[in-house]
Amino acid sequence: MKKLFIKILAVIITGFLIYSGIVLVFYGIGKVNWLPNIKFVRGGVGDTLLRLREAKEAKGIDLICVGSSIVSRGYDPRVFAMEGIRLLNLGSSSQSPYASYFLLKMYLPSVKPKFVLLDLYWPMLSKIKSTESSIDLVSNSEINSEILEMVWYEKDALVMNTLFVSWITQIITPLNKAKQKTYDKRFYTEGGFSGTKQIYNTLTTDELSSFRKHNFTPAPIQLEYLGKIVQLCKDHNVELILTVTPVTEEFRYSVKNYDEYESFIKQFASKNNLILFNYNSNLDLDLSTERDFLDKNHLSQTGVEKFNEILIKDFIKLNQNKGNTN
Amino acid sequence: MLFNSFEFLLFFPTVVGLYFLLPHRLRWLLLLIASYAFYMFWRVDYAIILVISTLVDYLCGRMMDRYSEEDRHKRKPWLWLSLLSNLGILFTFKYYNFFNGAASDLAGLLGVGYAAPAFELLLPMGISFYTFQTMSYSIDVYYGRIKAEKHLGIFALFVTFFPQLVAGPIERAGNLLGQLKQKNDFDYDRVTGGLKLMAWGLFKKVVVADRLAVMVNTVYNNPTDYEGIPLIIATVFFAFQIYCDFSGYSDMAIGAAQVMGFNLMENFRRPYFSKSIKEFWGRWHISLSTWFRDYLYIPLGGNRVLKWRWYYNIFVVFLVSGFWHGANWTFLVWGALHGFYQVFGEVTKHQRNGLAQSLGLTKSARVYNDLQMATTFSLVCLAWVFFRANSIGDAWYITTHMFSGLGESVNTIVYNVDGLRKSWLILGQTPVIFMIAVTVILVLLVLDWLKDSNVNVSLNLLPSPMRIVAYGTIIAFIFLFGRFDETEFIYFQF
Repeated sequence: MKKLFIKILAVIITGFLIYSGIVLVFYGIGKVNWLPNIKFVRGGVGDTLLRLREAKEAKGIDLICVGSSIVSRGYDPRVFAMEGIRLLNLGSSSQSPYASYFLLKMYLPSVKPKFVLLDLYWPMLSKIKSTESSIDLVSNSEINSEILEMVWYEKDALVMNTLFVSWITQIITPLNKAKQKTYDKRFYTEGGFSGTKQIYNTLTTDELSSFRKHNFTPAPIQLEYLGKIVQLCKDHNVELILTVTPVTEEFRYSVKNYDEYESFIKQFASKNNLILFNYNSNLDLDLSTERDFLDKNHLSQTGVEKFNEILIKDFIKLNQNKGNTN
Repeated sequence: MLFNSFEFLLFFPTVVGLYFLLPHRLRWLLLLIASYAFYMFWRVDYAIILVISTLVDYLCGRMMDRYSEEDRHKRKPWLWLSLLSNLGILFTFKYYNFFNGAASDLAGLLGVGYAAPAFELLLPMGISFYTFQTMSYSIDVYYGRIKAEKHLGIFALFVTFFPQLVAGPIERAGNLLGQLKQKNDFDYDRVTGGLKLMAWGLFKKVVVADRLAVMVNTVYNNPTDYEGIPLIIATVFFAFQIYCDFSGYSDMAIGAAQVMGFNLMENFRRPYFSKSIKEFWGRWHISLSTWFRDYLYIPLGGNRVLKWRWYYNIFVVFLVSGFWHGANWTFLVWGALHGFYQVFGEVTKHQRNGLAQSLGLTKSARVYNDLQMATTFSLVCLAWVFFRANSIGDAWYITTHMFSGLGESVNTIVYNVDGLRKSWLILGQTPVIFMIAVTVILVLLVLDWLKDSNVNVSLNLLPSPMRIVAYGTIIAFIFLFGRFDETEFIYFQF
């Protein structure tokens, strides 16, 4: 039996060395993503590297918002700052409630915001796996207990392999020295906002009218983590506000059971005694698909400004009401 | 639970550890509990089918055993009870909706009103495997080939033994029941041999089969988007996908059993090196083909009948084999094609030999063998089209468009998704992944060819440090190139 354990251990260690060697060779020639089980996106298109770097140092923040790219590209801290509200945008690519939970767990204790805005975009609530988002966070965050926990529960080879590459890379180049790639027509502003210089929607009328019809089905894992986010905010004495960031009405109509989705989020809010701001059904918000959106779901700068102004009004009104009640 | 899941990585060492720690008298109980846990991890309520199947066959076996060989007619009702209950379970869960749909279509054609309800039942995992295993037990007891098992727990373990419960090999009671009672001590060579087989099986599943599956699915889920070369590549890839998927599972099952001291039957013997369809069936899914040989072909009369009846027997066996795989017309056509190949092969045997001689093909045995292998592989691939296609319509489209528009079809396999970044995709995958797939197929073929040529390619011939490096490399490749989205094994659905 002892001999067997020694042999197994020897095979595992050798396997690990061979694995590391292959990864290092591919990393060395700058082609680590050629390996099919690695997707390393440090400093990639979503600006997560810069956002998390800011979050690490952030202080005196009123509001943290979390969610997918419609959040990172839809909540502009500059607009909020005009009303004296300090916003930290922690949205990132394909961020599901699963990933949001670990991000909040990572930053709530140090940032200590008063409020958390959690976006309830239906595709994220339907995600059975959060691979894309986990890869983004693993590539751009320092390796800490929350990241390890996230990877552990994700149980995905792509995420685990990427974690290994991220770890090796951080030994070679510390995270604070890593470089963010730049892209044409895109910019990043302080506070976590990923903006764009593009003005009009790039989708044609045909494309806008031919989205695949689909049903909203919440994934059990995301429901579980929504519950955990509620609890986490309670534990940190932070008020959680639920939002639905606007998307084009053409895309909204592609959800066959959109009513069920709306009633689901309403029920979730009322069950947990939370405020819900749903801007997909807000009549005051007059958004044009052509000018206020860049594609089916991302707002253009004009759209961001229109949306943020209404959101800020609602937010201020909410606080005033609270003040009056208190 | 899947062999390629994280849960199994914890489950298996725990079971093996406990197995060797427990005294012999309690080991059957541990394996029985583990087997039910293994099955119930997929779905709890369907374990009741296992319980029913076990109790009915146990009872029938014991009742048959009461009567001597001379009173075999008294055994018959119990044999029928066993067969009908197993086939009844199979019919209810697997075939009812198929026959119901066919009856409804037929009634529609005849203008007759027909409205029987369809069941929304999930097909129990591995149902065709364990029902066939228990039926073979009852038939063997009936013919007096084996004695009925008296120990209900051991019999229950024979039905549910977790390494081979959901996708075989379909074991015979004569081979497995006795082993389940044997005391197996820890044997270093046997345990390491089993673990190596499991690692190799996992490699075939996650690195080869699952990588190929992505490309095969790209084409087979939208076949009308393609013609020519992509259809041929996807079909050849599917041939290797299903081989690695199923033989990978069998290797893991045999390996897992071997670790604990049990020998399961060989299920694959390098099938793509067969020189005829008949030989292919002696090398592919051996536990099923021998089951059909022993319990259907021979009872039908085998080849000891008139020629036309012999051909009929062959065809019926393959038709039933197709239907065993699934309640779908595509599987029936697949089975019928193999039946046709075999009958046609027998009918034209002399003419084909004569033609080969007159063309001078037999002068070089090697060339002739290679030609036979290539022809057999092509026929098998043609039949795989029907096995994999989502419908008869799709299969027909693929077979009729495989060799058309060959020149233009290159554009549909390799295309540039973004002119600026030069991102080329081959069958929806990056060239690196495509090349990995081709390379692993070639490696596999070379290894199989060496084994088939009686070249001992066992890693055991290497010195210990080299062996450790070789197995370490397999592990590293599994992590770096395998797909781990817990894709089910193809044969689980049968």
